[in-house]
Amino acid sequence: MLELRLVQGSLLKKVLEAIRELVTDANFDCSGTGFSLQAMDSSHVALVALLLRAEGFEHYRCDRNLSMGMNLNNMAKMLRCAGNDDIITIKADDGSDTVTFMFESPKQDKIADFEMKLMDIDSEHLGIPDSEYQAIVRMPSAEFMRICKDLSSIGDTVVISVTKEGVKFSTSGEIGSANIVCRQNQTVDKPEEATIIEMQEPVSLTFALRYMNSFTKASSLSDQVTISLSSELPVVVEYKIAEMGYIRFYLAPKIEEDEEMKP
Amino acid sequence: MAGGAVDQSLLDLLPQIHALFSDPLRVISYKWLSRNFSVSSNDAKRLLQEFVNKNGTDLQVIYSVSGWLKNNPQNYCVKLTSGPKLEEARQAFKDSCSVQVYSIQASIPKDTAVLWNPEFVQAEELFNQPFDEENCLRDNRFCGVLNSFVKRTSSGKHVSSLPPKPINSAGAAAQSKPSIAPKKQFVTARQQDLPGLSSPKQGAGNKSEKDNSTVFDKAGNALVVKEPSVSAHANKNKAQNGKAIPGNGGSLSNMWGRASAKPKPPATTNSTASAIVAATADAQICEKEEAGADSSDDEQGIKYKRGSSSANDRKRRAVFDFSDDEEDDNIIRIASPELPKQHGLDPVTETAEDTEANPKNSENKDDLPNSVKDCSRGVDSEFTSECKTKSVSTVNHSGITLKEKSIDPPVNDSKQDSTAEPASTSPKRRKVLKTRIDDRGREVTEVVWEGEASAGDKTEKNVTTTAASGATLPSKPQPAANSDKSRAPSKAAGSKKPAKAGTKQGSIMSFFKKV
Repeated sequence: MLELRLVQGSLLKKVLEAIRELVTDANFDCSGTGFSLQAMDSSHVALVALLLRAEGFEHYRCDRNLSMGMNLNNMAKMLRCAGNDDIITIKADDGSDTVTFMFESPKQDKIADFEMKLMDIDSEHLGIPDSEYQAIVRMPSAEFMRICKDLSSIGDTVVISVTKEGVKFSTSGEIGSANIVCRQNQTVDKPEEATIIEMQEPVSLTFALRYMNSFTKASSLSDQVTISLSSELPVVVEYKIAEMGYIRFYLAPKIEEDEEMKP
Repeated sequence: MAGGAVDQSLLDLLPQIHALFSDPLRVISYKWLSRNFSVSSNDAKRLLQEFVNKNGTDLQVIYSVSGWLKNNPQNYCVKLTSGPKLEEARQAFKDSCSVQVYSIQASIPKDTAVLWNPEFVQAEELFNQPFDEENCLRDNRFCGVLNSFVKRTSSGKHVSSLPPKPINSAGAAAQSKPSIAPKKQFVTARQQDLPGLSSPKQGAGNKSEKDNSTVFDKAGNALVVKEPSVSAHANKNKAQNGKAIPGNGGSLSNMWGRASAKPKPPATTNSTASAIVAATADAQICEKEEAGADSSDDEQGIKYKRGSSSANDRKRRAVFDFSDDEEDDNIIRIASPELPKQHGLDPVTETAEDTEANPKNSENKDDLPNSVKDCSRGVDSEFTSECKTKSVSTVNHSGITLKEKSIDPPVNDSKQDSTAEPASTSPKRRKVLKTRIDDRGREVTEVVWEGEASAGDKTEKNVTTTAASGATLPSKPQPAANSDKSRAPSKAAGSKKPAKAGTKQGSIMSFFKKV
């Protein structure tokens, strides 16, 4: 028996909108600690990890660990039927092959039940080690989204370089090139507008803008985005979800390589 | 149609036919059957009839109806028709028409080429067999035309020029005689022509076969009418006659094949052998082509047929060149400019042109001398089928000269091709040779039919003809450069994106391990 009651139902709606472009089918894992998801995109270049901790739910009951395979587009369709202020309750019976989304209007005058068929998904669960990153950039998520969008109109890839001066996003394409530098800026009135760079050592990595743009779909979840970079690791683009969890996108960097290296 | 006397030994084949028939895609034609089981065509037809009598319900029969047409009594017509339409077809004929089972199949194929395909493949196989091996195509044992003066040996020493006496079971017997006779004479004529040439090659055989059928067509035109609706069938029938009759032609080509083999260095015999085989196989196509060329525009059915069948059967031909010095650097060949020998002119083509294109021909010969030896199979097929294409457009071979081929710049060349084409009866489709170096470094010559529809092919076409023309030229560099260029861009295009970034997208899997 599974019953998760999420007062801020819009969070779930936003989460779905954020990841459904990247991943079409995924297993939601429910355990005593929370509601989580890990999935790779079809090309195995990016990975999305979602965690909604149990404490974040108004009511969280998960009798036993449960993995529910869902088509995220279908799930998003159903969640779109929920109002932004609705309370969403996820219910599933043990051994059932369906999941039920219940939407309650804030005034409790309308209750909608949507039952969705589950699917069997062979998912490869990857172990993601906790790592020290050479550079961690925290910046306004809207700013990051804007940068990615702008750069993708010029080039396909972005080079993210962190130096002590700031973080530089650069790209080049047929029409030209672009560089955007964001300096550290903590002297703002609002903390969500701050740009904070924690750098152990300079790092510069290249990523496909396509994925970055896809990640920024989660910008509505959080005012701030955290970008963690290490030369040997995938970049982590993390959006905090209220106080209850996070959505993290991992993206493998483009590797500097000559053509000859290819078979 | 002789339902009657079928030998018990033949009847024993019925279970086998049944087994064959169980393959739903198979078309069992009497010709195929005849070759496969080494029975005569008549027996094969009877056998099929027998089979139809026994299992008539669940199979589709294609009959060949032949006789004199009612509406055009001048013309002897052979027509293929499906079972249900048989009566209808018979109405068109005068009283005594002959009806025979042509083939049986599970369903009537949409593409008439399917009818012909198995036979062609079979013929190719048979011709592929070593020379000393007797088979029914070599010794022509089932030929409908018998002549006691003609001595058939596989080495083909002997061909009588006497008009043959047809005993064609097709009921066309007496009538088809006139059309055959000139053909035979033509063969002889060609033969007389040929010895004058330095080294007639195997291809000449098929060339002359081709010529035969041309003449056959010409001569026969007065006699044989092709109904548009069944043109494909009719032609096929005819071609099949043609194939059976110039079974002599087959041995002729063998003979010429021998002759040409001599001047070649021993190393090339392998390829020569296969060349001959293919050449003769080509010849079959030629015949059909010629047959098609003579007839009117509404022969597109036949083009289509051949097109698809050639697509099926002759998609790709790897040419291993075993000849002397190039052996070790097949790959380098792509770019190496000096390969005149490799693509020397082919006497075949000369013979093709000799009558009408003498002046040009002599120029050709200048290019020729040292290359005769080395003609690889690829070249042969190139030329023979070039000739083919040409003769399609200008039945009498005039106007096509290798010289043009080799001298014109590639683009013009292809243009010329296409301009020559409209003159022909079939602007829609044409045969194009594609020569390229495949990834294993072999030179591959593809004979493909290109239709108008495949506009995308056009560039390819150009390249191809370039290659072909280059092949005739002593200077290889042009095609080489061309093909180099043609692949270079693609490669560049392929590598462009990665190169632009100079990076490769890593996989997340290489960073995190599965749990």
